[in-house]
Amino acid sequence: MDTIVRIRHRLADASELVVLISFLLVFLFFSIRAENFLSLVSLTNILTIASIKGIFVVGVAMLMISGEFDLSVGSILAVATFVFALSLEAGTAPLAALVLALAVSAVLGGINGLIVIRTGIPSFIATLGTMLAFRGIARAIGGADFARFTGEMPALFTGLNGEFTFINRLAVPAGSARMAIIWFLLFAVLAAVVMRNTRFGSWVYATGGSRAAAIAQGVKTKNVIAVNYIVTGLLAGFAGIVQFASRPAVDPLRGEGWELTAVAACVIGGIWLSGGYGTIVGAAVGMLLLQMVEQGLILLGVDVQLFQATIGLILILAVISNTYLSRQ
Amino acid sequence: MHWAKNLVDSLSHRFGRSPVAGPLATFVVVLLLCLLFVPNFGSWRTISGIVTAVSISGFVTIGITFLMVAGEFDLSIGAMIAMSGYLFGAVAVGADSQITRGLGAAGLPVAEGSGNLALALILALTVPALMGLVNGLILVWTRIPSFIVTLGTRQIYRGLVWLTSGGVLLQTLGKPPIFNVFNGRFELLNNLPLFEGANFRTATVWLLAAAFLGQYLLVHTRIGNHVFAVGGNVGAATAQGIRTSRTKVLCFVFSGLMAGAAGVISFSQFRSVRVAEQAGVELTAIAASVVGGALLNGGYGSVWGALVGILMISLLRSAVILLDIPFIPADNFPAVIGATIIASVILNNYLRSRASG
Amino acid sequence: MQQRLYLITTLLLVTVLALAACAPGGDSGQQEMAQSEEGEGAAAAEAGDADGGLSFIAVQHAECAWDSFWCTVQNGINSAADDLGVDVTILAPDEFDLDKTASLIEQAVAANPDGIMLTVTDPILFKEPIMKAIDAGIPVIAYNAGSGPIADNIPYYTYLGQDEYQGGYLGGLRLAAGGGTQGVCINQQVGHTGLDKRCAGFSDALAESGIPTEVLAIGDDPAEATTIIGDYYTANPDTDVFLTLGPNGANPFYVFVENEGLTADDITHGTFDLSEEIKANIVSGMTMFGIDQQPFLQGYGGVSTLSMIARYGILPALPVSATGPGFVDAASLASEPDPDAPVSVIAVQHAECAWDSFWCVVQNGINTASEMMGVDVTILAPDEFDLDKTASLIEQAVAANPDGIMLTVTDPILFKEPIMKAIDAGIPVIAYNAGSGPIADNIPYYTYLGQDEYQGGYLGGLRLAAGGGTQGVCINQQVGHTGLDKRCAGFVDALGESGIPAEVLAIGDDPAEAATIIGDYFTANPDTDIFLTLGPNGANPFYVFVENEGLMADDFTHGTFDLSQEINANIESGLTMFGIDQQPFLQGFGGIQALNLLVRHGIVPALPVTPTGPGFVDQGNLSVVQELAGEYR
Repeated sequence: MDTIVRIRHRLADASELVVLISFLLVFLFFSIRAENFLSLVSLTNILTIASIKGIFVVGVAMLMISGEFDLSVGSILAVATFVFALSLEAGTAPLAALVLALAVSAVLGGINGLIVIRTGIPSFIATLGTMLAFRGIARAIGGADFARFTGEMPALFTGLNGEFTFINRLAVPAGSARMAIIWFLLFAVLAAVVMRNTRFGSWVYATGGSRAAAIAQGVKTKNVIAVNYIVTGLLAGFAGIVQFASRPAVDPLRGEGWELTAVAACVIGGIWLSGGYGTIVGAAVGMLLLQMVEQGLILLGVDVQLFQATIGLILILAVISNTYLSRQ
Repeated sequence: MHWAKNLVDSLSHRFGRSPVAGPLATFVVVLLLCLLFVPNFGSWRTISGIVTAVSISGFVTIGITFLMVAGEFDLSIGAMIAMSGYLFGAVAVGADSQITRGLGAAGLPVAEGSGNLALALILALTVPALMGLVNGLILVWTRIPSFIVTLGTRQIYRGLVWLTSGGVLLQTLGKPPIFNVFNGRFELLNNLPLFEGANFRTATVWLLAAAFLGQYLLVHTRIGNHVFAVGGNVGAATAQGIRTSRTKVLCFVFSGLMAGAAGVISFSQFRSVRVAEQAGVELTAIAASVVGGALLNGGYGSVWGALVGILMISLLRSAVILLDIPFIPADNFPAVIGATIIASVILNNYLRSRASG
Repeated sequence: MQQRLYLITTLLLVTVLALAACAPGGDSGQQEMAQSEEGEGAAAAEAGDADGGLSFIAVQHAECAWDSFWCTVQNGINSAADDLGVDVTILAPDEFDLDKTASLIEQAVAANPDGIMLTVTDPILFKEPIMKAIDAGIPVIAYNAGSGPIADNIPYYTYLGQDEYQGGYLGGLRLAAGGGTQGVCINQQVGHTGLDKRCAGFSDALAESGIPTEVLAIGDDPAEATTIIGDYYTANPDTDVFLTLGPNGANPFYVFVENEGLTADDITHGTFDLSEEIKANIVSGMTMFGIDQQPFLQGYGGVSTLSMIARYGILPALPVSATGPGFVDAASLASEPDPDAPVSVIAVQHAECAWDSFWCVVQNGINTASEMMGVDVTILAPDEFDLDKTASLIEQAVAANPDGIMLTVTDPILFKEPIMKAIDAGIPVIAYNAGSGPIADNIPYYTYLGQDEYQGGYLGGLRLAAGGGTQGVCINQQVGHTGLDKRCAGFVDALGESGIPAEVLAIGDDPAEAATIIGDYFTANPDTDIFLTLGPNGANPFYVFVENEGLMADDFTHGTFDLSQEINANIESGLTMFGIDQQPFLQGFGGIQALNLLVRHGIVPALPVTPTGPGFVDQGNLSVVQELAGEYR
């Protein structure tokens, strides 16, 4: 009995442990059961597709640790992609279009932050409102139609989401490794370091853990929250632009429902809904796990409708085990 | 300006105790503005259209209000409506469907071509209620926040609907007269000279009945008091001897029941149901409850307020279409809902603070 | 006290409700939609039943016993009979004898089969016996020899053979893809209509790339022909793109190449038809391709087309159904046909049966074909309309390394990258339902099976506007779906030609909301009297709106895309003028069949676009369709 309790105590210190173990188990399962799972194309598919969403999952994770939600990430992503696409279409230089789109994302993130810290509306409701409102902006500027880029791909696109041909050509069918993986890795590592080793990181944990205590200790919790919203907005916008650089068309529905995928990834990764607990690495692995399940089930020939159910099941199981471990 | 401040003060003091007062006042103001300034708005056609459009989401909103007062919510409601629609539709008319065949094979009195209305209603109401029960049980057993539990079951239940339906949408041509009772044209009312051009439907009467029942349970019974207590402060409620877990589970069951009713009402009119039926309705219902004055953290809210909220959304939709604003076509209406949510929360908070202060 | 008040109110409400139920006149606008019994006899004659055994007779002017070309045709017939579970008897004279062949047709009619396929070797000689079959109500199609029902002046359904112009055109596109300065079409029989069409297609294709072309007439004598080609080359030394029209043109061409010491780097060459010499040159790289009329497909397609007509009432969309050109290149020569190879196919589509009844018919086509042909199929679709997700599903399907992928090209730019991944991996790709063909979409998949969406909207608009009108509206349930947008554009243009203004109204997926949106739009625009809906998911709320408003068939005209039981009932009652049918069953069935032929028999789809529609269903032909609606139509 004692050993079990001791193991539990030790495990409880590493919030991402459950997701890491599940990741390995699921990986093992598909490696044995699903034909072609260990192929280059399947593995790079998982990495690349997960990375696009992974980029903003990093932001959502920081927000959730500070005790707040952002349901509007999918809509910000759509607005930013439309701004990027439409300015390119209007002849703006690619770099200027990128800066403009990122600026817009930051402003939209900032609006979220302002509403939450100024009015005291719960962030779930506030960003439910902005999710719908920002989607309206995306529809309005895009004329409820696609925006497409049909010209010669600018060099910037290669930097944003170019293919790693030297890796992809290693096998047939060719892999699909793209720059998105690097961006995801970069942001995840950067955020992980900030959260672990900087003062700002400990402020974020304090803000989410016990806000009153944090304020008493002199943490400017409102600033922390505002910064997190802006970062999340920026990352959501960037994710959309990265995706546009490989598939240069964007439709008005882009990103709908991704906010819930992001929350699911974070929660599977061990972040508490109430804030104050969890890590960026956990959330990142959570996102990879979700994408791996999808690819694996396709290879097993399972009907698509049941993927969503499987992901729902994983979500609940992961949270139960996370809670069990941390409730020492 | 001084008189205006006084007026707000006296109004908010008089009605402020009731959660429905603020939203209702706002609704009346917006309604008057629309009547004055929106072309074609002031006709029974439009008014009845606004009322009819909430006949399905209204039920969901009543259920969600219970949950929000208890400090919880349920994201899996859309799937419950789909489940109810399939069960009701297939069994009521004995449609050519996997459901009919399966139930028939299991020895239940239904077969292709010979429907069973009583069985259809029982299944359509109890199965969603059971789905709500499962949500509630997971919640109280694991103590995971309802957002996460129902985010998970939202996906799982859609999978269940998919399996139950065989992945095929259901459309029936037969229309038993009972469909008109649940959701047919309300000719008794429409034919009155007073309601020239109106298109009221019987669904509205059922919705009102459900609202009366809901409000009665919430305000005038002990269970209702418990719901408020649990949502307000779980610790205090437990200290008072309230069985908080049981209360919360009951709220989930009630909300499932309302989703079941919504499925029956919907199928009775459209005679078709899809696996993805009513995806996203839960967010509209939460929005309506919030517009209608409920607090996300619980302990506050009312059924009437929530209905006012969902009517407000419907009213704005019609107004926007009638105004024909170029950058807000019908498919961009959700943006208006978004702005409304934020504006009304700010307004409701203000009115509430004036009332208590 | 207050408790009792609530109870009483609730009770009162329930009583009122019961009264309302008994009130007369509720839903007078709606029909009791019993299945129509009338016209079933006609439907049965035309449409047969989906499960019964079928027997067909094929009458042809030659046969395998004495002409090896026909062995391939008969092989196709027998494979199809096997795959589709039908019985086919082949009748042919024991030597070339047209009169005997005509008599065989008459004898076939006497056997009263479920369908006859035949060669229209001479339309005048064969007209009388063929008319005998058609008058007897036996479906007739032509294969290998013929010019189509219009040119032959015999009302059979369709002719399956090579489209000569398209052969020259598509060959020209392939040759011009590598660039070039000057092209020549070497014609051994100038004045032969078929060969002239091949040259015309070639010239048009090269002109699109800005390459000038000429036609060079050579005779039948190989030595003379070699000299003529050599002299022409001396006079036009820039010539670097060559097309020959058969073995008789290719043979002197190869001699000329040898004489001049030319290599594959200097010139590009393509040819019609195949011979051992041509095959050897394709393998060596000297010749880029041989254009094959695919006799196997003429036999296979004939049986398949007859089964479609007899079993499902699905008619061929065009008077001429191309079996060629099929391009044979180094890669396809290397692959041996393997009729028993296991085939696994993944179908990726942007919608599915669970939420759109149109797709139930497509999926039924997919499943029926895969069962008949022994093909393993997985259908992947997002659980709600989500193009980005659909694109990712294509990428994920590639990882499963299937033998073929069929998919909807809902947006060519968004889907290009994932589709290219499949093509680069050597997986054959075919588009169905949504797309514009490989050339217009700029993605080199094999073919697109579907209808021309703009034409569908345009022709529908013309019909609706014919009766006059004040204002039109296109009710679109999925704005942003390229295909649906095109339908609306066609509709708006057609109404514009009659001077009727028209707009697009976006409705969502929620039927209650959609009905209200249409109602509010009508309030704001009460002059609207022409409505087009784009499928069952748009028509369903439209009918609710009509019921709400108490509108009658005289107040407006309504047309819709696609069919469903509800739509059919409303066509019957006269509320809806027509349903535009793109034959979704054929899109699904045809997709699997095309991949099956490609993987097992090396048969390449002939044209970039394989039309399955549009076909109009109105009160005139509804009875034929009624029986099959929702499953096959």
